[in-house]
Amino acid sequence: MENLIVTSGSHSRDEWMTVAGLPEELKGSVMAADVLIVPSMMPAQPKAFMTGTMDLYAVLKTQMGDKIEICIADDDYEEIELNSRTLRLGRFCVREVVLPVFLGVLSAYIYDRLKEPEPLEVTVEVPEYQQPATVSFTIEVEDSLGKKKEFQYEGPAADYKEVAAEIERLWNED
Amino acid sequence: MKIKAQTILSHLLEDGFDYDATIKEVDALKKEYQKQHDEENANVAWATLEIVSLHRDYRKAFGMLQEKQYYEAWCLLEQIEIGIANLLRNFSGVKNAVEFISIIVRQLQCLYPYRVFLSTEMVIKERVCSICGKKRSIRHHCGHFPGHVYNGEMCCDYIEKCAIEGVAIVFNPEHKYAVAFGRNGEDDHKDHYDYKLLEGLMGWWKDPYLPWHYTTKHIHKSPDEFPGLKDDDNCPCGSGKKYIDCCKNDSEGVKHVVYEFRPGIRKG
Repeated sequence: MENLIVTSGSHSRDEWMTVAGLPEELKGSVMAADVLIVPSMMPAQPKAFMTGTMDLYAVLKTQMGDKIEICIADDDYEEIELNSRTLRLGRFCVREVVLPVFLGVLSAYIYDRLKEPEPLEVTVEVPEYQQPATVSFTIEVEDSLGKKKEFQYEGPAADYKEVAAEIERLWNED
Repeated sequence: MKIKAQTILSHLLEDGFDYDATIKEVDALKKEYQKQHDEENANVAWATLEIVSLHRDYRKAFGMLQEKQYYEAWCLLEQIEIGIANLLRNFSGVKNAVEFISIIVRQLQCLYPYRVFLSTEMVIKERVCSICGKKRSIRHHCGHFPGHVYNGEMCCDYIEKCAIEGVAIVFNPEHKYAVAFGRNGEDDHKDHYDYKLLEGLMGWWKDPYLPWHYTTKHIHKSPDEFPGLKDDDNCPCGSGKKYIDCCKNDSEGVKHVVYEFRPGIRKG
């Protein structure tokens, strides 16, 4: 799958808490969360989150409750809105046990955000701004034994289900 | 409200339909439902208002194209595109009421010569919810989601504090209105884009509800068809490169796209 990049995950939760300058009182819930939304690490704004993260967090909270946390203090939360029309979901640290559920919730969220008309006839000249919607995200999966893998995807939103299945397959292959 | 909405929508495409009067009437009904906290009817009134407004704007955009107000029409077409997306996100069952204009709007956008846009990179620091007025906070969500309709109003964010970090040139913009216009000096306010595809279409498309579609065919033309073409001239294929760096090296000739317009709608 050409738009999916797999690497060995390298960040620890301690590192993310340092990047975010997280106060002591939030460190416990960040360490305990099965899904942790982490800062974007954009060069100019490393602590900022992708636009729409606040709503995604609320949706995930509804679906997964206390298993979800975000690595930032309320007062430090900022969103960065980038240029082109891609649904940027951001970066997530996910524990193995909730990976299938998390990928499923993300699928429903993408579907809701990108309800679009059917694409135009593909055989005609279509400018880039009329191409089907794209989505991007990075998911770092970890298990209790220290195994880690990072999955980075940027590509057609329509391929998400296939990508999610591939992420699960690649995680389980060794 | 549902019966009223159905009656309005059944007359929407008739000549002489008074969009503004209908909008005023439905808006008054919506306000009444809002006062009564009748969310279901207020939301149906919102959807009805959106549909009527979309058709009104669609006719306006058609008029602008007839008047060769291409950029103004472009901006209105984008508003229609956004309006349709918001409508269908909340009321997917009314797709039929806007499907035709949705297809035509996208086809029209494809015929524009715009390919390069400017886009801001912005950090949003503070915002409030348009429904309840509360400051948005990551761990204390007010329960209203932007893009969703509550009691006859669509939720959006009011940005209270933000910082522009930069401006980028993009091909797939978040905001289509931010078209990059070329200028030959500070006093040049002329629109240098070539709108001949739209001009060709508007030459025979006289009714906004007359369906049409187009097909494209890639061919090559002999360089002999471009008398006086020099190596340093812009390539006639429209790539933006010099002829010597583009189609001159193509053994088949100069690349050319033929657009053919036909009546009727072809769905994707």
